[in-house]
Amino acid sequence: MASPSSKAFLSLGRIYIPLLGFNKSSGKVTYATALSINSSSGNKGLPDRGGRGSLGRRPRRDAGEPRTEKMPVDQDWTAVYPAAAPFRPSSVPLPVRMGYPVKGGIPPEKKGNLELIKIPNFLHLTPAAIKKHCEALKPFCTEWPSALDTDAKCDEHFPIKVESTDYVSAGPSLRNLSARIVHLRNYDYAMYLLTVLYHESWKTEAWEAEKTVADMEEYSWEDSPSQKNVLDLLLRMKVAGEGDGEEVRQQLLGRREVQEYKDSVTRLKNEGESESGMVQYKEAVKKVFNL
Amino acid sequence: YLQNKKTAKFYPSIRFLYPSCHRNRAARIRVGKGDRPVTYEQAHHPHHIAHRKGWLSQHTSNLKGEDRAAERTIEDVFIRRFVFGTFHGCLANEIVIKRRGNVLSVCAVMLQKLPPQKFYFLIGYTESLLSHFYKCPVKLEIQTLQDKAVYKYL
Repeated sequence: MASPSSKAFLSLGRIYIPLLGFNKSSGKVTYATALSINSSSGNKGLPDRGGRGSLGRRPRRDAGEPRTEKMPVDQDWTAVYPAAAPFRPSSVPLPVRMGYPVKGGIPPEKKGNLELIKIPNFLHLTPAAIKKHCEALKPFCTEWPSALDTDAKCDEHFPIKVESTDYVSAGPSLRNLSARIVHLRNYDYAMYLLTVLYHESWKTEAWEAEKTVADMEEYSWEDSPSQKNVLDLLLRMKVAGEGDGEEVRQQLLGRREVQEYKDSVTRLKNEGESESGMVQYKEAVKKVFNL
Repeated sequence: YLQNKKTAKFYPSIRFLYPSCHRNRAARIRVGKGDRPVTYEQAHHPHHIAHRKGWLSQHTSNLKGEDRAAERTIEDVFIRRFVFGTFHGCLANEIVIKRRGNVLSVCAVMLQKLPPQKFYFLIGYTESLLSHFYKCPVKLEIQTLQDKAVYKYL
């Protein structure tokens, strides 16, 4: 084609003029002759070189019409915005206006509107696009177990929660841990730790059998001095002639007041002393002694 | 000693002595004759940010628990000056910088002053240079206009 070669010729002419020491007028002459050769072959190869007066012609190609004019109504929008991209007024066929209006005017139009570019847009996440994403992900997913339909059930069966942040830290470094969506390494390590602890807790060592009352973490009322004292008291209070047998003790244990006494004492011992704990103990004691 | 001193007018450069210092002059174009075209960005003063204007640069470093906000700011300043100088006279408005994950996305609105081939070359040059400089993918998203979008005349 003629134009690339003509461009090269022109650029050559421009570079060499100062080197060869031509004065301006002869430089112009050289330029003009180059022009005359090429004017017949067409104007497209001639960019405007800084607008030298007489060559004021701007034979530049006009920008074509924006893509919005050619868009059919039922086009595939996911093809226009397949990924996150800034707002392009010539690709979005909506007559959007944004900005504070001038007094007595309307908000500025979308062409050249920097406000529309500044805001994050979700044009790449239309329902159609999300459907496509889901379809693509389906082969990798399994069914949600139908028994887990409430949050409470989920918590009960799966008490361990994995926390992840909503955003991905945006910076040039990939080494920043929060720049990755899932802490995969840490997650695996946490799972491993939990599994180990769980299995370890089930193992009983030989020395665990030597646990004494003083080692117990929680207070248990059975076989405690408190139980013995209460039962002795009740026996003495009651008919002395009933006899002091094992079954009498069992019968007494089953009575409601004794159970309440047991609850209040356990509560006081385990949870520490509190207002309500003491009140409960008082009530239980009164009931046991029929006061 | 006294002879060497020039007898000049005494005009101390001390800010609080002059009442005009009480005016805020940051990023404001003052109202003039009415012949100066001004874009939306220039017409609104800095106290309108978050009310009528958005933010020109977006990144997550200013959220709670995130760090390196200063580095992002310095990168922003450098990128603005770089793009302003590379596309000299072609910028219609300020540059918007968005960071999505690792990618630095520079959005600019340009005037159609250069032929498209030159634009493509400059875009490629800017992208590759900035990517090598910041060690992260840099994408330049350019839109072109015939003329600047004028908001009002001040």
